[in-house]
Amino acid sequence: MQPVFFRDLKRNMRLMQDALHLDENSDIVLRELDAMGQRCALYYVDGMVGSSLAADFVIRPLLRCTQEYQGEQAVEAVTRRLIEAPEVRRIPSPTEAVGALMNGLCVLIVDTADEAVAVDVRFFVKRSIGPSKTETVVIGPHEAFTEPLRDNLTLLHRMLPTPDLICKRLTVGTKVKTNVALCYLKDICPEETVRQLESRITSAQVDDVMTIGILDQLIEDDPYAPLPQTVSSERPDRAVSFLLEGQAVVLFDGSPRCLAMPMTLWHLFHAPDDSYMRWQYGSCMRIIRLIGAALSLFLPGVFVSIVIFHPISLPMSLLTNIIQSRSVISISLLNEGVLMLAVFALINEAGTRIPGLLGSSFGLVSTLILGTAAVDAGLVSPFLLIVVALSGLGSYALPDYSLSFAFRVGQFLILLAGGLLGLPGVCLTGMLLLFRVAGMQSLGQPYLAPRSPRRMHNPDLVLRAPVYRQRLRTWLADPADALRARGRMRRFGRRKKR
Amino acid sequence: MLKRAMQTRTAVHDEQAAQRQRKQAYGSALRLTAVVQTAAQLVLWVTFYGYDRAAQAVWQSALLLALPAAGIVCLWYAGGTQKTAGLLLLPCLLLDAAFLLYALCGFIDGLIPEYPYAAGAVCVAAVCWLTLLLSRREGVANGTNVLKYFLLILFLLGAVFLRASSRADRLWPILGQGLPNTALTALSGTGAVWGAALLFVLPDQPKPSVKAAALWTALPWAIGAVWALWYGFLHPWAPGDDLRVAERLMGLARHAADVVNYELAGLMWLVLLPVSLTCCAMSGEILLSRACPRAPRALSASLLLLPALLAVCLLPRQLPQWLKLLLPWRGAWAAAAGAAALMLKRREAAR
Repeated sequence: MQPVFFRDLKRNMRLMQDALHLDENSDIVLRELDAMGQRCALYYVDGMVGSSLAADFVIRPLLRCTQEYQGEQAVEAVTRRLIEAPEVRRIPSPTEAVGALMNGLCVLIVDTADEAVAVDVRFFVKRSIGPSKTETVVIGPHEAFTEPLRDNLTLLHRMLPTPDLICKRLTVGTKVKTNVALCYLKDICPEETVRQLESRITSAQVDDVMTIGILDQLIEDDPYAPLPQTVSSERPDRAVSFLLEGQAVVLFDGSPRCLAMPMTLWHLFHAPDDSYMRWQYGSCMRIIRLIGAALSLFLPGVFVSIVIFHPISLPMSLLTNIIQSRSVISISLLNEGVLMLAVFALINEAGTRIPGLLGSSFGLVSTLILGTAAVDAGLVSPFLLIVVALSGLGSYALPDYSLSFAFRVGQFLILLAGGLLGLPGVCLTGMLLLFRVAGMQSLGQPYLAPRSPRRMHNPDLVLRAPVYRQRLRTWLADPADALRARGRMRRFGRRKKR
Repeated sequence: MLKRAMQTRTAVHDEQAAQRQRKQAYGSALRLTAVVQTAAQLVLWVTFYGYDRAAQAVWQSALLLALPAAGIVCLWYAGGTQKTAGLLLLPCLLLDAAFLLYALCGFIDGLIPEYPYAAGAVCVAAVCWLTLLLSRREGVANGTNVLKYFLLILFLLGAVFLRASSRADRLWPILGQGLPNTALTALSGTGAVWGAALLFVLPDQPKPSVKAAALWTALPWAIGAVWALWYGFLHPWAPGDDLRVAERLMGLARHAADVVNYELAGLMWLVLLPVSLTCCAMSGEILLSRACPRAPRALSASLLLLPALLAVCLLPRQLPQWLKLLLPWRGAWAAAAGAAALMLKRREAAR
């Protein structure tokens, strides 16, 4: 495309017509008008611009202008005096003009001027800000991110009223450029983090990036890693907490979630509730989550391996009950375990996709038919049903959906290893998974830090210390600004000595 | 400034200091793999050979007292970075790997007699090899660092819950053989302590701080001594070569009143042995890739595992006897490696 605009409106209009395929595309509106003694052309995308806003702030002021301007003067007059919209900017090239148009801005081209003017009078249909659906809390704010990038940035600015909050606008995709915002707190987030993340986002060489999930997979350190390397959240308060801890947050236009990087495994076990409650309760909840994670990953595998290979480890009464219940089952315990986990995964997947109205029927089918009836029919033993249900419950206790999914995949591996090689198989597979996870990195930072390797950190990793003792940011923050509080945090309660 | 926050490990004021701390943390995690490996060797030595007391040749044992220490001192002065010296340590690592694999396969064979002996060995070696390939060095070091607490808990559970009252006369089977014999048996175990030399070879920084190195070096000795003491309390004493590997390994927990404790002791071996074997293979991979940077990773990862696997599968009956003779000599070999490293360094300095 032509790198700069011509001074001739007709040639510029032909340029735009070619770029926007105006002869085929009926969604682009072209309004020609005479203003400032010149011919002008106003372009906008139908539905992206408020008609009344465009009329009030752009078209009417231009038509009212009686004075004549030419070339540079005309652009100067439009940007400085005539247009009443708050955001007006000059655009030197047709490529940028097309980009601005596609982002919902009005583009005005004036005859004799070699620059266009973009005016922000965007107004489009969008979902209003609603409560979080995947990260619900009992105590705490209920707002969640929504699709438009601007609204999400507004939420961040409102919750973090400081000029240190930097929101860098970037685009990703070579053909379809989607807006991305890289947010961080100046001085708290290390420059290296910002530089690396920006370079990863901008270096993505692909025609289009349609969702934040794809962007996530493009910028992560290791595509073959078993666990997520970014924290994804739909809660602005959580995004703010990441920013305050020295992490960078990526927002994607059209996605109601944000990504935070770098991160560690421990972030995936944190939930917003932890900080809103007293430190004892928060710690307790985290321990319960860890137990849930261990149950989710190991329980089916350990149960199957013990019953098949090491039955002597079980108390005699329990072993007798298990053998009795299994006496009518026709398939092996390993097959039974795999079958039950597969059925559980199926119920889980169906439950996610099922329309709300069919929810009650679905509950009936899954509990009655697949549960009770399967036991009665001698297809599965009640013990294994309890084990699978417990492990499923454990996976639901994990606050991060990706982590919970990874654990559900991992439990299949452990189950197979336990069923084929007994406890040695469980231990070997556990070691393999642990070492694989320990070797992972998120934006170059070790995945299990600050526990391994040891790093300076705030006492808010698994157990939470009282708030007044949480004097540090995470080790991911810039070391020069790692201290959150200087001096005593609680300046009352100690009597002065006379 | 930051020292006011009690939770900090060290004070950090700028990016350089943070970078330094990160390197130290990685070096420390890497050294921990050598500590775990050494501790496992000592504990295995006590379990397999110290248990039968005074089976070693006297002159070997006497010779081996000073050699590991000499090797470690030499490596300390050489900086531990000499490529050739690193390669000289490979036979010791190979013996370690064979010993660990033999113990682990024997244990698995005892737990699951349904499968052939070689199947367990192949599975274990394959998983360790895969772990090395997938998790890289950082993964093994950091993973072991996380597991150390778990291992410690299992180690204590496996031994403390044997529920034997600690009566001094139960030490008699050891002392009853006479103090010289007992001492010489303990000395022959010093071959296992060659692994302390790895503390000076493994990290990138050639000379770790004196305090940290001394502490880490002492740790495996303490674990070995504690383990030997626990064996001393065993009742009834049951020495003999006729015991199977699994029976020997579960010797302590055999007298546990609770079946759960028995299983926990078994779990300790099931965690300790594969982790030590992986650490051992990682050390070999590091030494080889340092000497030959172009060697493919898959090959250097299998450098120790493959010969150990072959030895365990092809010589299942002879291997215990051979190991009994060869293992104490690791100290001597490590000392030679240290001396060679020192010589090479001096020669380079002279040029």
